[in-house]
Amino acid sequence: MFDWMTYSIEAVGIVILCIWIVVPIREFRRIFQRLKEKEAADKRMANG
Amino acid sequence: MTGVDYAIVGAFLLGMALVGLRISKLIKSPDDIFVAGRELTPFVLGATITATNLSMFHFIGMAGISYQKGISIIWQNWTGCMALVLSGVFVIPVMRRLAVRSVPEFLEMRYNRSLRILIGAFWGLRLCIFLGIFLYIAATAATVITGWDNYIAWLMIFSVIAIMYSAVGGAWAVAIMDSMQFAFIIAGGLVTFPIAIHLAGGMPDLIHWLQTHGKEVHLQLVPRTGEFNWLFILAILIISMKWATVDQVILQRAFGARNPRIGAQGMALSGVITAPLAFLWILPGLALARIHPGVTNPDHAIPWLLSTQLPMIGRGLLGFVLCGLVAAQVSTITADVNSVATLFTSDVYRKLKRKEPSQRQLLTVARFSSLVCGALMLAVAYALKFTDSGAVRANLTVVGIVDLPLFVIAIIYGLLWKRTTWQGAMAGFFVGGALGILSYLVIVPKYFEGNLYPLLHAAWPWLASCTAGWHAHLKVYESSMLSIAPFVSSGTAIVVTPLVSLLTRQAKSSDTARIWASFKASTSADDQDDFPLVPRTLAGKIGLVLIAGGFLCFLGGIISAIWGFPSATVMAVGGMIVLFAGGLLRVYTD
Repeated sequence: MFDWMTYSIEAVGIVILCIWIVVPIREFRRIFQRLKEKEAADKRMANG
Repeated sequence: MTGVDYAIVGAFLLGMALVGLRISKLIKSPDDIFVAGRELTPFVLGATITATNLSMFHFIGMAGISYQKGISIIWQNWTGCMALVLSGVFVIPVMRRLAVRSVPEFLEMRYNRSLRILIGAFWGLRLCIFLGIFLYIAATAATVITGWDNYIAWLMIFSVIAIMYSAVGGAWAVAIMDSMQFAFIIAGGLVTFPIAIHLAGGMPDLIHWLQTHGKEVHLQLVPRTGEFNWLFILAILIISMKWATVDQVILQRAFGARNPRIGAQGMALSGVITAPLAFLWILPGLALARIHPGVTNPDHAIPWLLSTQLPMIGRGLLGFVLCGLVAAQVSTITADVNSVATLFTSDVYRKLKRKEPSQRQLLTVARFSSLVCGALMLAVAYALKFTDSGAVRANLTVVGIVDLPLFVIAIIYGLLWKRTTWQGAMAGFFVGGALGILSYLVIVPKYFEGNLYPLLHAAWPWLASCTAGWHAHLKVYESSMLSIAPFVSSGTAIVVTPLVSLLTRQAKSSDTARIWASFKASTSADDQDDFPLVPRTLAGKIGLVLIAGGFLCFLGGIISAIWGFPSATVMAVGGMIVLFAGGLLRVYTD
């Protein structure tokens, strides 16, 4: 008999895992980009 | 465990230490240590909240309960998931708008400074003890899984790297490392789950076997009787609501959100993804009931599967799964250590100092308190080695009892009743907690006969004979104590807080006015970053209706199990799914 329950749970788990690898990487890149820009702006302000 | 497994775990620990220490570059101010500079985004928040929530207790303890008692223990996760969505939609936007760093800080705004210091200190200490228990469970399980019987070495492996990088990198380290550890935790579960189910002959065979071997109750999601019945589900729902709305460790992650909307999205995402993932640790326990029956200590069921079956399937597989377990434990420890540092620095040290400390001083104190928390946690875990496992269970129950009055005073009366005074809140918190613990001591024979009765008999013999009478009547409820004690502590706080509040004078302050104002979103209609409690769009309104309908349907399902209603499970699970759909619609469309 096809074990649809096990395959479904495994598939949902794999989808969540893939999404949570790809999207947080993208979000972290954006966060670090923003922090860099902020730091540069702060330095410019400090230098007058 | 082979050399390959040790090498994999060793490389994982080294990688964590190196990445964790590099993050220290991001720390420029106390806010970076406490709330990751309030820069976190929805999926990062979802990952960090989920990783903080998941620990070895889920993969070993809950699987063990599922092995022994059945699948209904899954509600401990599922009610938590629903509570995360509800908290994300209704509580986090208000708290995030107030820009607080901790729950005690909110308590100062709402009540007064003394309550902030008291609860900050109490929670800091409670978290250290709780962390010690977690560490004890993890180190004990690791000795069983690996066969390397060196308790102290395992304590060090689980804690030293975690303490080090959370002290140096603070909330930034927690957020970044949690996001990475989340992937390891899920990957470990995705390896163990199909192996366990395959060994049990697949799900259809397993279900048939349980039905034909007198274990039908193992398959009931909402049982009418037993330790994990409908009453347990209601009790754990209340505890989960408390956890998702006032638990410093969870809320501190959400306070790190860039804005109230992202905070709501992160909480909702974490709740929705954890619900299906719960099968990954609950169902292997059920499978083991067939594969390896007769284990006297259910906590040894999963370690048996990992240590005996995984090495036969592939070299290094055990090491890989162990990385997931270590990740689950370390992510919980780092988040807790970071929260203790926040509570101590922000709510105790800063408030007790006459002069406002400098940023540099705050950073030093935050790092130092992380190290002290780590040392305390290790001391508790070491001491637990010499007590019986009943002490761990009692500690966890007591933690559940004393936390609930905080939910009552902070959320129920703190946000919903303006007349509550600080005297009422303090009375509700302490009397509720004390009566909850007392009920536990009176009902559980071990503690009544061993501790309470001799103490009372020596001091007040008449009171001892009275309580002995109550004990004789109530001791039959010992097995339901996990469900009853939270009702006693929260029920007492619900009654005492308004009574004392009505008898005392209400002080008005600008801070309380700020709290009421924070119920409203930004006045600018096009402010996309804010999140209104009352939906503005049609989709948002539909989301709210789905949340309310789903929650009522879930409650109806659980309550109907009292009479053995055949559709109780369908109603409860269906209601939960509708609530999730409503939550996502609400946070992503309005």
